[in-house]
Amino acid sequence: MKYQNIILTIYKIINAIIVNIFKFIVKSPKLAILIALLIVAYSYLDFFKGIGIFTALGKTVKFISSMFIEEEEVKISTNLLGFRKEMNLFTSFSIIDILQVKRDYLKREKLKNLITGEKSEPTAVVGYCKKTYEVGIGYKNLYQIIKEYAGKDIKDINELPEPEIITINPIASDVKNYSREECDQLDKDESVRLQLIKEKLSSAQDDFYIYNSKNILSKLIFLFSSINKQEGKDE
Amino acid sequence: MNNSKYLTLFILFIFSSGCFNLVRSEKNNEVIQKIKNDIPALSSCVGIFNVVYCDYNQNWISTDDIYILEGIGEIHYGYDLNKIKFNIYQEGNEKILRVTIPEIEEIARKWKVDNIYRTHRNYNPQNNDPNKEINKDLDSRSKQYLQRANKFGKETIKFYFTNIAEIYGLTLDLVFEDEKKLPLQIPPPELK
Repeated sequence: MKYQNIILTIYKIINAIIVNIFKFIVKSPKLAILIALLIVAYSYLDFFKGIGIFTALGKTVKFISSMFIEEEEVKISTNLLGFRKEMNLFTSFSIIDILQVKRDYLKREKLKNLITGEKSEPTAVVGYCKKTYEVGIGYKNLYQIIKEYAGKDIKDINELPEPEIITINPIASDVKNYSREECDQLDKDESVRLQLIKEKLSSAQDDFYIYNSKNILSKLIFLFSSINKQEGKDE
Repeated sequence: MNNSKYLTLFILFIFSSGCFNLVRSEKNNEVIQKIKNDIPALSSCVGIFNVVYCDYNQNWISTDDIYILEGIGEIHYGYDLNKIKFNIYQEGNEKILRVTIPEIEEIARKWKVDNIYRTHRNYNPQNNDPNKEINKDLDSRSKQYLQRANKFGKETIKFYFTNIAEIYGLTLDLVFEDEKKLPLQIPPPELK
């Protein structure tokens, strides 16, 4: 009974709106045309963007529709496929943001281009996709590196190889007016995302992580090299 | 008369909801800033996972929206390098390299998307961040598979350190802290 009353009330409200709109148009058509033009200007030309009452109207429509739409359902399935033998040395970690923006014409610019026939490059940023990555840096296949430098006397730390990116993990993402699919395409193409992250790391011009990584590697190699030197002395 | 009453009610609702922000405001997406300490670590094995993320949004008016991500996740398991202890000592004619390995833990992760399936190009999961959700799920999975990773990791570490010891003509003595092997009461003699 309670739900029936609510539905009846909502029906009466909608009915009242529609009836009164028709009455208004019939009573003062010039004013109705002006209001319709204003609505078109708002919707299609962005003239009144950000004005409070229109924002409130938009939010109200969203609120009412959310009463009928159930919440999103998320299901995640994770299955272990197996283990892989690997011996890597992780020397540092970094949090990096990759930003992609979408540029487009504003609605009034589209109208202007339509009238004048011009076609300039769109400059307005209308959407963005920001992905936050946790990057693991170090040396892959540590055993091969130790084998290569076994017995060598390393005088300068710069002789050692530079570290590389071992793991890239997206930990968060933020999407506004940007297609989620396009945003996640970055995680599909590993070479592109690796390139973007490398550019970010090198743009910082901070060689600390390179120096730090070589320092850690050198300590490991030195440990085994010192055994070799001791052997030499014994002989 | 009745119509104007309901119309007034509706207009009042619009103004009040706009003025007092009674309608649901947009959720703020907070980015996780997980700062990991720069602790060097040695990874000994990689757990490979098949991850499927499904987001389903029921629609009142049009077709329901679906967004699916399918991909491969990797979890690198290993040991904190600061906790690994190296000792070299002599026993008769043999030179022994003793390596003490601490408990295994998760070191790093990697996630790569293989396939994306969606109802229509512009559908965005409204209230959920797929990357955050996948990482939350992997957090719990990682702990579940730690024991299996431990067994596999030990085999890998034993294999690689045996080879490293052989390069230097040493015999390997591998001690795993979680197996609680008794440490030597007398510290090993130093190489002369």
